[in-house]
Amino acid sequence: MEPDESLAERAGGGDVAAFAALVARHEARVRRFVRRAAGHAADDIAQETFLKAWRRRGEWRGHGSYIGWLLRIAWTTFLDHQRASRRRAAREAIEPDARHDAPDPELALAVGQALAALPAGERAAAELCFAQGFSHSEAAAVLGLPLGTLKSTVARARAKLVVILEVSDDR
Amino acid sequence: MTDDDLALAALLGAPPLEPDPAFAARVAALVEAEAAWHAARRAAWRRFAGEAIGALAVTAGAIVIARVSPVDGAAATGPGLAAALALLSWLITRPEPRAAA
Repeated sequence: MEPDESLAERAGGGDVAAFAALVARHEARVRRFVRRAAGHAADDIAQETFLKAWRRRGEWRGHGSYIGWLLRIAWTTFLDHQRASRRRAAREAIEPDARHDAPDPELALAVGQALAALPAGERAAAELCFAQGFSHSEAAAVLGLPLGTLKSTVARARAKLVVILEVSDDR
Repeated sequence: MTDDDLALAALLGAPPLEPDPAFAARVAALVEAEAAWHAARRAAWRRFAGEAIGALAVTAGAIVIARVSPVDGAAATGPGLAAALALLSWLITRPEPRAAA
């Protein structure tokens, strides 16, 4: 399988097929991240993310992973959408779509509700660090935060999720 | 990683979202359309720039020729006529712009 770096280099030269291969490889993780972070209009944001990545294809210099670069674009795209719909509360932007992701509907619903209770930044940090296995420094780069801020954001998210999910388990 | 981290990773991480070939195909089609549009736009600008330079050159030549001091009656109309003919022949023989993709 051709590595991301090689495909990204070809895409940077305008190779549409190479970029399509990158889309096929990473779309599930990008959609998942956007769905967890944004909920509402997740596929639209994911689609816009890839179009922006195509337009900025010459900007990727191989520092960090390609998926990290994509998720960084996804996060800024989500923030743009959030600013555009500022009148709606961030919590309203979450759909309980997460329940469709797991075989146990009750557990998935509890996880979805727990995530929906978090601010968007904590939700995204939790998704990157707990679900997608990013290191703190990688997640900080994706979210555009200083490492210390990211760590405290993750700690807050962890504390809230543990409390909420334990309460859900008691029911 | 703490036990809480492991528990959260298990809760949040599984199962992974299934790949969506329709989504990937939709994005690829949008990217291809955008690439084609940019290529057509670049070609149109190149064509316009080439024709503008050609038209400017012919017009400048015609102006220079027309400003040459006339020696007699025939010489007075000759250069202007030649310039007009050159401009007309360029307009007739220039390559037809290709239809935009």
